[in-house]
Amino acid sequence: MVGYAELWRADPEAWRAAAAAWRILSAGLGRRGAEVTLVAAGLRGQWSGPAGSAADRRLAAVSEPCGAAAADCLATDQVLAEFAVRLSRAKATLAAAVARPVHPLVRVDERGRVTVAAPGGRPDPEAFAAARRTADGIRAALDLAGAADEEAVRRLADLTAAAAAGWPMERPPGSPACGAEPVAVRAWWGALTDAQRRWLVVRTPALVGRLDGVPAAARDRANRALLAAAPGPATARLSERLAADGRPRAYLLGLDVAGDGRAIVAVGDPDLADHVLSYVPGAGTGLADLPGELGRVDRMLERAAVLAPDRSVAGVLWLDYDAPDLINDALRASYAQDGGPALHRFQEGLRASHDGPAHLTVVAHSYGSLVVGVTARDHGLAADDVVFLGSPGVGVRHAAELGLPTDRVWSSTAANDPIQRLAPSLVQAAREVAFAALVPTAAPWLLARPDADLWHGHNPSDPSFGGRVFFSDPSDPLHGHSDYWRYGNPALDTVARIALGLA
Amino acid sequence: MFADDVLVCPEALRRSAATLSSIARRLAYEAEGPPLEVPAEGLQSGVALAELTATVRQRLAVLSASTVDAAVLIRRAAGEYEATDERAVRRSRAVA
Repeated sequence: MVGYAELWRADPEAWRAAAAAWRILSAGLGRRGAEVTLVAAGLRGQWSGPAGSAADRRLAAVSEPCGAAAADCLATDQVLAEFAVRLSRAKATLAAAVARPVHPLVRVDERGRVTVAAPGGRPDPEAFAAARRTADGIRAALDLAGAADEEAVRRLADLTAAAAAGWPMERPPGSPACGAEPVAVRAWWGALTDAQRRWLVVRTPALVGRLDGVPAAARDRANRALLAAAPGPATARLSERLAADGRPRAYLLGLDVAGDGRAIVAVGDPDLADHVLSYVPGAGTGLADLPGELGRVDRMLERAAVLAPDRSVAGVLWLDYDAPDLINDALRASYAQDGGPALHRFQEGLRASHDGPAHLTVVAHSYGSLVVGVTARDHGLAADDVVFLGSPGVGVRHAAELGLPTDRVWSSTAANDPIQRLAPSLVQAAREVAFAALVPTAAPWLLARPDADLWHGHNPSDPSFGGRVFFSDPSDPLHGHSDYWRYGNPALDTVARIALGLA
Repeated sequence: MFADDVLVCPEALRRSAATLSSIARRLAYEAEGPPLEVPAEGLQSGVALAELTATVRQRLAVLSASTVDAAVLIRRAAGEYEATDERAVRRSRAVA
């Protein structure tokens, strides 16, 4: 139970700072473990025989606990970062409860008790109603903080017990079959002991890091270990974001540095948030663009936090497909078709690993909307809402073909977004130009009119597509195709409301 | 130094032992390192975190000590291999 005064005094920033300190400790321990492993490997070539083997075992008895301790210190970082988020939410709820215009006769004392003055002994029904609302708001905030405190205590106690036992590891009896459904993976993971999970994260990070259905926190621990073991210029900016203090904690759910690079990065733990937004970017994106694309996720989450401070939302940048590099590559649907199975599995995994039911939204930009549309059409998509922004078509003629209720399919294309002038073929484009030449008075209308059919199917922002179309401000003449995340653009708030389940 | 399935390079053992000593020092530093707790009046999490911090620091100190022990043993092994080798050389010369 957290008290009113304690909640006011609680400092989420201090918990974030502590989380960062544990993260740094984890990195240091990981390096020490790797150094001991390196010493052991060097010795093996210089010292063979029974004594050499005994020394090898002795060094393993140091390096393995270092790796296990590093994993658990990272788990502590996750617990503290999540606690800071929940504490911030509780404080925001409390502030909203007492800051809202209450009745002039209502008072809140320093212990959070709400009283109503009755001048002349006459009770005022409006004042009582206002007092009840205020008291309910305070209670809600204290409940949020109390639940967060209890959860953190439980998880920290588990981590303490593991540390006291020397971070035990035990090889599990088996692992999921290749291609196992995320639901089966989740069931397998749920049946393991903590020692077995620790063994998997430390010994098989490449398996755990990409296994849909494994909880995000465990995937993050595995992938960060992989990243630390193979640093390079391609991942420098990713590492910077993962280490960032003073920003919501990022979870690395997948990483592949081959080619343009791929990554899945969550902001906030998607298994614990009530609402999870997955963002699929468009053509020309790779690891080098990660900060900018993650910035879009950050903006959607920031607006969601402003619009509903008491709701928990996590955002995921899903950059786990080979996005077309050039505009002519984006004419081909094969990139989207190739990415479909992975997106399908990832969303299924989000659903499977989530603690209880979650509201899932997939937001897609540009070519990413084709990836989402093709996935929904061919494989199914675990999502409650789907949002297309600046889409060149999504691979279907009508929203109903996506397998979702049509009122949960959303689309926006700004009036100044050139994507909507993408006729599906050169023949049609030539026909339009010829028509404009023959009927010059029709040219302005023809050029301003969004095309109903685009490169990859019916324009989802066309009313006849059957989804719900929303407005995007076209006032920026230079960035029509990328302006959906500008602060002040109503489209950004609409997306945030959809992600919050408020639209 | 060779003997059937035994191969030893004492100098390599000494280098490894030195590296391990250095690692042990860094582990000890990490065990005693910067603050990991949060002073949090009224929050049970603050108490739980303090307990975890104390336990982790203690375990890291043990790990550091184990690393020191390993370094000492490896260094001693190098010395003993060399001493054994020298004794063997002396005996061989005596026989000759």
